[in-house]
Amino acid sequence: MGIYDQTYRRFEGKLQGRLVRITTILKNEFMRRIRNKWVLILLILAWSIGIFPIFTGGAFMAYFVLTFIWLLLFTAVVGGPILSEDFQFNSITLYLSRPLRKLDYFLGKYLTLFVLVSLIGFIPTIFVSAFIIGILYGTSVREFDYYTFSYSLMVVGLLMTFVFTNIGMAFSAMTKNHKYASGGIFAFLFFTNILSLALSNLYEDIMYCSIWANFMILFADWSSAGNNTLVDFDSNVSLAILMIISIICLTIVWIKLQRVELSE
Amino acid sequence: MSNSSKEKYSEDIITITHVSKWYGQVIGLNDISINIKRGITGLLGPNGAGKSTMFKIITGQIKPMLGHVKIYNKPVWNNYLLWEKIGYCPEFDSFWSELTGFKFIYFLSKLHGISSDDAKKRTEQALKLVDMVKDSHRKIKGYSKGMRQRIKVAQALVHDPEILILDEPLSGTDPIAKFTLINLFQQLESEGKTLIISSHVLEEVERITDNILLIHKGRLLAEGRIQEIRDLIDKYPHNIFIKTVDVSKLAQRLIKESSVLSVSKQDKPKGLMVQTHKPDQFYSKIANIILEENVEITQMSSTDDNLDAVFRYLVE
Repeated sequence: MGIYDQTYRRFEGKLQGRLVRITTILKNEFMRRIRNKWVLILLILAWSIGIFPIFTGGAFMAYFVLTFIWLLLFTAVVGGPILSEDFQFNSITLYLSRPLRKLDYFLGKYLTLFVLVSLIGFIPTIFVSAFIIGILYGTSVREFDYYTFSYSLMVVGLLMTFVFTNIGMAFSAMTKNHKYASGGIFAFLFFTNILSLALSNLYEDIMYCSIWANFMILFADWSSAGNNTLVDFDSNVSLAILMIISIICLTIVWIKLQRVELSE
Repeated sequence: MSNSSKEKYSEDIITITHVSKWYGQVIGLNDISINIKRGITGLLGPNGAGKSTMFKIITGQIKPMLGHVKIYNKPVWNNYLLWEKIGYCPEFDSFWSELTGFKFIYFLSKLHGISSDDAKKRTEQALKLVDMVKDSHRKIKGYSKGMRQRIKVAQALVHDPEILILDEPLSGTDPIAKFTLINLFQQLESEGKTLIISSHVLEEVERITDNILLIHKGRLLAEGRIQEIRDLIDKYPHNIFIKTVDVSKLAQRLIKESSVLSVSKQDKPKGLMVQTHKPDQFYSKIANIILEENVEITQMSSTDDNLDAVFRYLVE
């Protein structure tokens, strides 16, 4: 049996600033989520099925479709519990009884989800871009501006990460049950796309209701440097729609955090 | 005690002024005004009395609808720098149960802005204080109720707060853990800290402090010395639940005790409900009885029926 010195000792060290506290949340949350076997499985599948085919000459349209599907599933799995779990298991109390502002808590959680979503939404675009520039540049495979193409790919990847993070945060803030939150994220992203695609034959502009279609429109416009092949759609409208969705999502999260005391 | 020490100990640390809080139609706190000084204050009240609401207001987690709370004469609400001085142990388990006890406390200490090296040392020390070093690298989901309580207390004091707000810290703890924690609270008091400890069990609070606040249905009923409450309590029989598998053996032994009024069997959970009019005497003898009879007891808890009777008495 170990006998320990149980004399109380004062803490005389120096306290660090807000940034350290925010990154502590980020690090802890990231490690907790990434250790989840479903998250790891999804990540491995997304990288092996969704991303590697591009290196073997797969079409970019296929890349986007697959990325979107994996991103949808991944955001539902990692985004659903990001806030709702704290409400469900009351661990929000542990955060809010520390010297943290609600903004610090929000930033810690937001950055966690952003980094996680970027593992599928953004990080692969860097590798794909590097592949395009490094391998194909100088060859006569295709006649197009590799730099613009790669740059557009990364910007759209970053934008996808941003929008999906916002959607994930919003649904997670709306419920105490993380399964409902995950279901909500999946249903919202999946059905808006399916319905938009199904109804687009009747009314073309309804395609703007599809999150995926908006990213496609943006990529098509930006990567072609003005020679948009999807001529019927305006990339500015797509960008505006995605920004409006993001603002609505962030507003939902902020309102929820301001009202968190009432949720007891 | 020197004059400066007397002044130090008579200073109002927490000032609660006309605080009220509603949850929709339900009143949580009703026009509460208290000044809390250094040392240990016991907050006594039945479940649902408003103890947790008061703690959440003191720790700045919820805002009172009326009135205000000040700590060191500074408002608590939205004053996050003041929260560095507070350590809070919530009533309900709020864990990331897949973490080990060590990682859990380490993470929370980092949220206070303590550097990694210091956080490690502080975590180790906090675990020593609650006697949880041995199990600190096991996952929290495998902990017993008593271990969870000790981990919650450890996370509350890891950053060396000046004020400790402990919501039912002794609830569900075994006698050894209770002894460890009570010693710790008294040690913290001797360090000049301010502790507010809630309970719905008078005997628990009585072992820690004689300075209590009585709260019921959101109202402050009484404050002061515990003996006055004790005199009221002794008029009412006291119920103690003992969880054990050796029901018959223990019942036969207990019924012979002069301090025991009645013993009844309980099926869910399996155990005995003991009624006594001399709880002090009963508690002082129970450890010996357990040893003599060689029975296994997994839990012993006092129900708050008798306290309810006192509250009814005070209200009426």
